Amino acid sequence: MSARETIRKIFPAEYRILSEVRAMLSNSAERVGLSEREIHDLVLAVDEAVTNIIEHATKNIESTLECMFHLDPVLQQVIVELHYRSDSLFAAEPAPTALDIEQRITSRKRGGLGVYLMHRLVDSLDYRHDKGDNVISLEKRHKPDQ
Amino acid sequence: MADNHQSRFEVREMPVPGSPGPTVLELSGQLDAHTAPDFERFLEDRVRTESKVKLILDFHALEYISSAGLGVLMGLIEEVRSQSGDMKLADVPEKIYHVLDLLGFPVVFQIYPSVTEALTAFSEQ
Repeated sequence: MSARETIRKIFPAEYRILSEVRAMLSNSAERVGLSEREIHDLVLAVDEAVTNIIEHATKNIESTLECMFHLDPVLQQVIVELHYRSDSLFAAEPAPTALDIEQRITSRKRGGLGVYLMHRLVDSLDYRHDKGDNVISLEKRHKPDQ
Repeated sequence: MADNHQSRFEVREMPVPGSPGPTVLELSGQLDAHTAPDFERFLEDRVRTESKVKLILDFHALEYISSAGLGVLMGLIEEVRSQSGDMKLADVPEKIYHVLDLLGFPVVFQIYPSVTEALTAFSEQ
């Protein structure tokens, strides 16, 4: 693969799509030279983002999610864009420096792990919204020492 | 959408010599937001209906886990420990251990290289 390429697919916003999204992304990321660990981290971050969208933004609404994977083999970079319609804003708070897992267990607060992982596993995370149109972007680049 | 793309996850109770003793549960496949509810129901059934509170989760055949799956473990660990039990993790693949480590799981959960070592740990408690 030598030229930039974009892979695009529209899914129903249902949890059953997660496996297919992961498989598509994994196959795509392999082609631009990301390492196995980098691919796993990107796939997990995107899984968490898609899960977050389905759980919060499109809950109880029949909705769709458009996944776009922008592949750049020269930069060895993947940019994932997740497009969806919702009036609920994505809670992209700044990444916490540490997660107190014991405190979360004690306070029965299971949520928030996904957003934490998203921030930790990709090189950049961006969110834009405009009149109900939402886009979450995640970027991962190959680093030669990984 | 083709059914063969849907997440496949299975949890099986494995026989342990010298029962009654800890319960070994083998996890396999992919544990995500789609499959986590079934896993949660299975675990709750073992803990609340069958009173099996000494659990070893064997991860060797687990291909993938997201925070949805890990949340199931977080939801039950205090319950089993309040009944003098525990939930130990065993034979965790490196890429899954990496996720557990990022979230701080080794601080709360005891993780062993093998099921045998986890069983030994229970017998020594």
